[in-house]
Amino acid sequence: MTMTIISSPHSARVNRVDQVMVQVCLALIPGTAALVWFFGWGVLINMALATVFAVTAEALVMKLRGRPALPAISDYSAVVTALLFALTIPPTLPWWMTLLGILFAIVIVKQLYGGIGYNPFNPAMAGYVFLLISYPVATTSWLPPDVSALLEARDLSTLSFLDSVRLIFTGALPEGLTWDAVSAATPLDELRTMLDQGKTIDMIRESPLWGLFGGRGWEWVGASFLLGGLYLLWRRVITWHIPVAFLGGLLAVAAAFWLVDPQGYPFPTFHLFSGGAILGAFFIATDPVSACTTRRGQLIYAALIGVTIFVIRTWGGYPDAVAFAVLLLNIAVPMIDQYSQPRVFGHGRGERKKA
Amino acid sequence: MVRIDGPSCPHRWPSAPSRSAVALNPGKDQPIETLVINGAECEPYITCDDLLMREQASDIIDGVRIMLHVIAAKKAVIGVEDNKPEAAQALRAAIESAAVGDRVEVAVIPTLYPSGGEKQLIRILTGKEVPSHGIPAQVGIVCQNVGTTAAVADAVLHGRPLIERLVTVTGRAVAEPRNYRVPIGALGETLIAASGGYRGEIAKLVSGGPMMGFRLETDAVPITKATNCLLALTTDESPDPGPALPCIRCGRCAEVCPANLLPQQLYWHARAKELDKVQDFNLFDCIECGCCAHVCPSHIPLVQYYRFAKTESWAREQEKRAADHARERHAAREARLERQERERKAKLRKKKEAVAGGAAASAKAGKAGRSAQGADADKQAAIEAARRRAAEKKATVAKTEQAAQPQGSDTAAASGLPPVDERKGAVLADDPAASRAGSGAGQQRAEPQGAGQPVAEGSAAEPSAAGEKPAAEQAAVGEEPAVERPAAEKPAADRHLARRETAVQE
Ligand code: SF4
Ligand code: SF4
Repeated sequence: MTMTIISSPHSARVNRVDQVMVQVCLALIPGTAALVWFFGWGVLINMALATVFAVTAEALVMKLRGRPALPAISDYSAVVTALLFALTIPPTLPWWMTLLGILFAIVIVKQLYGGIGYNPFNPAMAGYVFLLISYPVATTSWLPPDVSALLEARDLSTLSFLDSVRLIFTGALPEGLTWDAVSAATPLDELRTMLDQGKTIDMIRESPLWGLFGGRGWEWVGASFLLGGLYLLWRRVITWHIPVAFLGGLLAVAAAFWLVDPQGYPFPTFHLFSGGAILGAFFIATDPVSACTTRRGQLIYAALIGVTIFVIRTWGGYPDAVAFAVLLLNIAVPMIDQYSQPRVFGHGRGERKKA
Repeated sequence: MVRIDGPSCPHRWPSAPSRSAVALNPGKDQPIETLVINGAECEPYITCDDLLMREQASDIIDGVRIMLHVIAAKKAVIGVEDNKPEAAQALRAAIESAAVGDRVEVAVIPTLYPSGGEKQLIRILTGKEVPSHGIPAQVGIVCQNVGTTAAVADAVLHGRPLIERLVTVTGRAVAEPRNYRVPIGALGETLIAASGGYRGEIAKLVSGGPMMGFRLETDAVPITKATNCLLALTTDESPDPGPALPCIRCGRCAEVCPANLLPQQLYWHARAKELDKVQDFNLFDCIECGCCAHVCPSHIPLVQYYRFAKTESWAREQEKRAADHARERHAAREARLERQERERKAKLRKKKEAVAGGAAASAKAGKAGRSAQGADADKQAAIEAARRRAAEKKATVAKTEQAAQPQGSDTAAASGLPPVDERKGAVLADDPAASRAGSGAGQQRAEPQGAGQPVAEGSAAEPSAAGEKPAAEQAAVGEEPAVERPAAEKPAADRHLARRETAVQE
């Protein structure tokens, strides 16, 4: 009789890393669908490309490091990184930029630090910021939220799947289209430009880029990601701490400034439902490896991300700030962890109320 | 400084006389307010306490009354988990018939592992936290297991020593899971056979529960007073968790840790063998409950790392103490030699003075001087002889020590050292797992004390003796080939085995 020699516990383990990652991928579905609905097939093509690049890069680096590649790629962490990266880049980004971003994320940010579990920075966000700094124009020119309607109005067939493929791989637009026609500023961009021109919020809201409670189109994307995020909470893949503190922090500062000067600052939900705030709160800041690991630390960490996002959006040089804010707070993680340790049972005056 | 406090198992095993005696004698300065009786089962699968409460509720209440009297506590609370309504009912009935309702109460608590841990239960029932490294008496509480309580009643009221206990035999790999009342020292295999033997593929045989129990190599081991369960697990129940992945810092472990530790940080530093760091993260508050490893998505054998770090810390502490001792002895020796040298010189000087003075002295005086000199020489010789004796003695001691060394655990047991704590024994027995898992950390001090020693045969053959010596039991457990018993003893053990159909019948 051969028996496994292992120390207690002898119970069956209830969680698995790959299952956690698969859950995250599943939770991305509603948000992805919304993005595809508003911005066309480019989103999906980018996701597929990024995934292929990421998994290949991960496998190659593992080989280079002289370790088995299969366990590393079968935890699906590279897939999650790739998907999150692909969801933050514009759907028209040339393929080689995606490749560059992914290589930076996987090879430099993740594997050079030791692979999963050891990277101090969020790989997807680091890859995105790398592109954003190197190719600022390409990474910030988005399509208008309802690109197909726009194209139909111009009596053109929609940006079909093949058009998207051609656009990403060769940079060629379909006949009769120009970049000026298809690209548009994101609502956050628009807001910043208008505010710089001294316009009030009421005037800015006339713009077609505004929706009911956020940027047009974007608000529904945000809501769909929220749905996915709630799914993650329900499946207990993440806990409430990071999303709530993240959105709470952002909402709190946004509300404070809006209350003081409603014409100089957009209403708080605009911040929530524009750009990547919801995606960031539920999917990016919750990346366990680069986030705080103590619960109290997570609250501090995420709230500070929310505040930083508002600060950068309002006074910084970039229209959206989720990536920067996350990376900045990643740096602070070891310190926050150090000072947010829970009180250990039996230490200090810990007489809690009778349970 | 590391405090080497006894057992890392948080559970109050029933009726360990010495420990209970300590627990019941908190000292005069700390009045005991509450007696907490642990009726929460240690771990999932185990049901022997449940059965005990249902069958011997009145014994338990008698025991509670005796203890209340002894420690002069005001009241007693019996904590029972809410999955044992019948046990709570039986206890309430017993309280009523003994008319002690004003002093003894039954508190039903949620069934949530590890509520059966002593400190955890105290917190649930009284809201008080036993200080780290402290004992419950420091917060005015004494905690005892229901088993102990019943045993107290047995001993005091019926004059019966602890000779039997209830044991759960369960797991999907035994044909008919049951509880048994067995004499201490009965063999595990007898119990398994009484339960219809093994069924299907058995992955592990565990003594204790699935979360904290330790794996047995063979079922030919005696039941001790601390054995509450024999658990035969199938591969489904206890699948191989596979190779450990890196920690992804998800914090699930911290969320479930009953001691409020940060298991991920403990793991990080234990892995790096940073013993000071792990202790900064309060390694020694870890009760090894296994919750963290149970939920870890990376399947890291966390508890194994903590046991490793604890053993290493103990070893280091011991080394340090030995080194300190050696240093003290060395310093003392130096001081002594110096003093002797000083005295010698002083004497020499005196002698010289005496000789110088003696040249002018009378013959009588000279004679006296000579005799003094003679006495001096005698003294020197005596000192020399004493030194030689001491050196010889040291040499023999060293030799015997050397000879004793390789004998391992049986020496420890035989020489009356405090018996090896079971949990620690489990670590040692489990250690090879670490090297196998390639985790690197477990490899150190693997010298599995129990394994392969041709020892403890005597005690294993006489189970009752083994029952009193957990260390000896450990040795037997670790032993590869099952210890051969005289065949005649088998039926005897069977006779002792008073089989009791449990819940099924009632
Ligand atoms: S549960 Fe496992 S993977 Fe998660 S933080 Fe704890 S040790 Fe790391
Ligand atoms: S660290 Fe793990 S084994 Fe130790 S008390 Fe916490 S959950 Fe239990």
